Amino acid sequence: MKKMIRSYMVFTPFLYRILGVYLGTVLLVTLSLWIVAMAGSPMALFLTAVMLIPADVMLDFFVFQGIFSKGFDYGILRNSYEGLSVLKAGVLGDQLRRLLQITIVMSICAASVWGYVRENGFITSAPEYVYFIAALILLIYSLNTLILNITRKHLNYAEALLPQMLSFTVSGAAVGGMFDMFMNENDTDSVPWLLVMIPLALIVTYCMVARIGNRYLMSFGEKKMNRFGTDDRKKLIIFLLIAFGIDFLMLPVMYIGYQKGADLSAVLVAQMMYPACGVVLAKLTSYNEGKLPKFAYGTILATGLFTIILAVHCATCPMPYEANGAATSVQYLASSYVAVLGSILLIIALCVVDKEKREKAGFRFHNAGKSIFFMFLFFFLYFARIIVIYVVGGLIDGNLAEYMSYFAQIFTADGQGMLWFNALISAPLSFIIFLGEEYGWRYYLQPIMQKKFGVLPGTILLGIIWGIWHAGADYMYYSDGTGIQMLCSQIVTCVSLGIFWGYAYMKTNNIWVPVMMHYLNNNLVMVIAGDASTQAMQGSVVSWSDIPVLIIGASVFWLFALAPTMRGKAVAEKAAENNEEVA
Amino acid sequence: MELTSVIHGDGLFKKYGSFELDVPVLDIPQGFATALIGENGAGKSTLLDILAGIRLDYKGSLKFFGKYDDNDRENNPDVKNAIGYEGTGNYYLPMWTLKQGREVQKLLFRNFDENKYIELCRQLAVPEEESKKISDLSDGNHMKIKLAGVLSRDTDLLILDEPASPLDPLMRDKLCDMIREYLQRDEGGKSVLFSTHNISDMEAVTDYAIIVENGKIVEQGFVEDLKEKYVMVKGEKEDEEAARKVLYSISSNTYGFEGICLSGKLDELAGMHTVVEPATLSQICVAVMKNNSKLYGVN
Repeated sequence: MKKMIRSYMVFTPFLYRILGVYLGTVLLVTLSLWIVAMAGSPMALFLTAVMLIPADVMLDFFVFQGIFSKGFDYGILRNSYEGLSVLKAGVLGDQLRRLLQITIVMSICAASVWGYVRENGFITSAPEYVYFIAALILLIYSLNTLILNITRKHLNYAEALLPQMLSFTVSGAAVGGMFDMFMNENDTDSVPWLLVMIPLALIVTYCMVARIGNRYLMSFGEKKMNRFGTDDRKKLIIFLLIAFGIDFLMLPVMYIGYQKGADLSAVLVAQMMYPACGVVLAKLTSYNEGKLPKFAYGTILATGLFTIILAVHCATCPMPYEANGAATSVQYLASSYVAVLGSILLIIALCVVDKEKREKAGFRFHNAGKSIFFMFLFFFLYFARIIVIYVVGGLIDGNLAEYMSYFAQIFTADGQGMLWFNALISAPLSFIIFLGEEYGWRYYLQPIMQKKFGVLPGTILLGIIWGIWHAGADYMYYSDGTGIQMLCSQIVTCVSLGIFWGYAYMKTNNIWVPVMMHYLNNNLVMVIAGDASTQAMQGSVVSWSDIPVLIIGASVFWLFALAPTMRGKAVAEKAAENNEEVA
Repeated sequence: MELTSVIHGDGLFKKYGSFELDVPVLDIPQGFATALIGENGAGKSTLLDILAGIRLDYKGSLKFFGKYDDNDRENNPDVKNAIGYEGTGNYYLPMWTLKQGREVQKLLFRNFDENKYIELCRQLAVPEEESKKISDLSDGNHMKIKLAGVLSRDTDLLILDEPASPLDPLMRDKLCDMIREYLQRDEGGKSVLFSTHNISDMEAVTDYAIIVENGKIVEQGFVEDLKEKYVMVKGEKEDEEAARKVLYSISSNTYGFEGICLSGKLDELAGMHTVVEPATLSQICVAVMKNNSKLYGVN
């Protein structure tokens, strides 16, 4: 025993592990006491899913970072009989924590279901069916993890992290349970077939979770993640899970807010952080990334986390707030402050970090001259596009002069000066959310898409994906009753902006160029609309006839699809070739 | 002489993406230094990791010292204590200092002789300051402390993964001496298995060679036997075309050709102006590797 304690002293990584186990236990118990207090409502189940499981993922991240970080092979530990027992002891501690945590999850599930049935009776409406299924999924997942925990043999970081990320996604279905809070429909006729459906869903879910979870995901541990393919593939999957998984999970949350008539601006702010959070988590969990700017990455993750919490809160408990004569929410205000704080912290982080790490994370300001040129070019093209849209719109309507006077008002109307000033000056205070998107799309996904599909097709495809990613916002925020038209115009905009921004990024290899362009693009909307509030972007009515005009306007960006760079090879490929030549 | 195996493996198999390690039978002779030779990515490290128990995800069975199997290796302390393994990568945890590294080994291995370790470190000129971090050491020094670590334990088998690569020529020579000395400690009781691609540097100490290519053993045997099987042939330019059909591997230069020939085929070279010389191990290995490598295609 004494020897064991002494070995723990030497094996500092194990101290992280022990610390993690204790911290995690305290965190989980506190969190679950709070949730159990609400048991009996579907809300408890939802919170279990969205808070407990990510907390667990974070915890594993923290605990395992100490011990399984960056591809240690622990030769000396595995070679020694005593070393092996130390490794095993570490795992045992972790297993005990997991056991406790699973017990908590299961009891919350049970308490939630039991409390609900006592209050309202067994399944009486369709939403309840969703709720019970979700509870079952969570329960089955816990059981499955329990079994795997007991039977697993080998140690691996991914073994713990990935199934839980999966479960996070799956149990996101528990969100469905929330629907019954605002939907009230009696559907007793469907009880008989529900009785058939439940066991069926149970079997299917179990097979899914057990097959995927056990056979596929758990074998990463043994195969050292080879089933997943390369480390790059693993990173891509984590990125997609976060960027699109959270986007998807937030849809019901947005819908709740939409039904309640809440201002969803805070959700939009959070949404912009998902891609960067995805890249950051993918990189941090990778085996071969080497040294990364942890402070900067931490800032991005923290900003993402806080904005997401505010977003959920904003949709579920709307707190209206009047700003600049327009209705917004307290949470939006709060997330703006989070973004300001995050931006300032990120500036500090980027200043203090050494050049090598900054380069590694793609934060270097390359090709300054060319970059600034492209930023100005975008500024002019942006207005060129507006002019084209106004001219075409005017010609169609037959009163060109009136349209041109609208255009002139952008520069001449009262109060525009202040708007211009705001739009052009506040960049250092909010750039983190634009980095949030561009770090995912341009920096991370674009080279991958270009390598896979070719430069131009890859860029266009990325634009389409990027557009679809906005779907929730298109239906519930940007437009009012014209969701499908808005989505189409969003895709058009994203593809055309994607071409130009992608081109500029390829030319400059400087992520701050698309970040700045994205910033201008979003902030100039307020100048154009002559409205400083978030109202400028909301609730527009888009008709099908607007889309061709939009396409013509966007042609100023599409021209860049003809550039030689777009026909050539992807930057990454070129770089690889250059390296080969040098070698 | 009756030959006993220090490690006997049956049906070892490991799939690793598109790479397959497939060794139907493996015998490492007891009392000798065995070299595992092969190009990068041939499967040497994987095989050594499997033998040392660093990697447990393989198929097949192993027998150690003629009496222990794979399960004993994990559950019977005697087996791991009798095997000294030195691996590439992070063998020590990088945050350890030299002093901690020493203390850890004292904790981890029952048969660790601390005084001997200090003595070996001194002999090998490892930096003196003990507060230095292991991760700050150069590759060569890193290897030296790993070697000092395994050699200061009372083991019966050493498994060394690329011990020579990071060392300078002088140290390689010293390494050969140390391996020789280790083998002589207990007559016929100690064995060494090491992997290398610096065949010529380690030739002096190699008794038995196993050549691995694409995850398969393509040639193995005692060095003397191999040298009897393969010989070096040199000849004139005019005979090159005829010789090409006979020789196992051939390379031409301005004045003529030289190549490795199977001894059994020497008769077929009769009538040509050739000189037959004994081949060195590295020449044999290169010839065998060339004939089996995917780099060269079909010869």
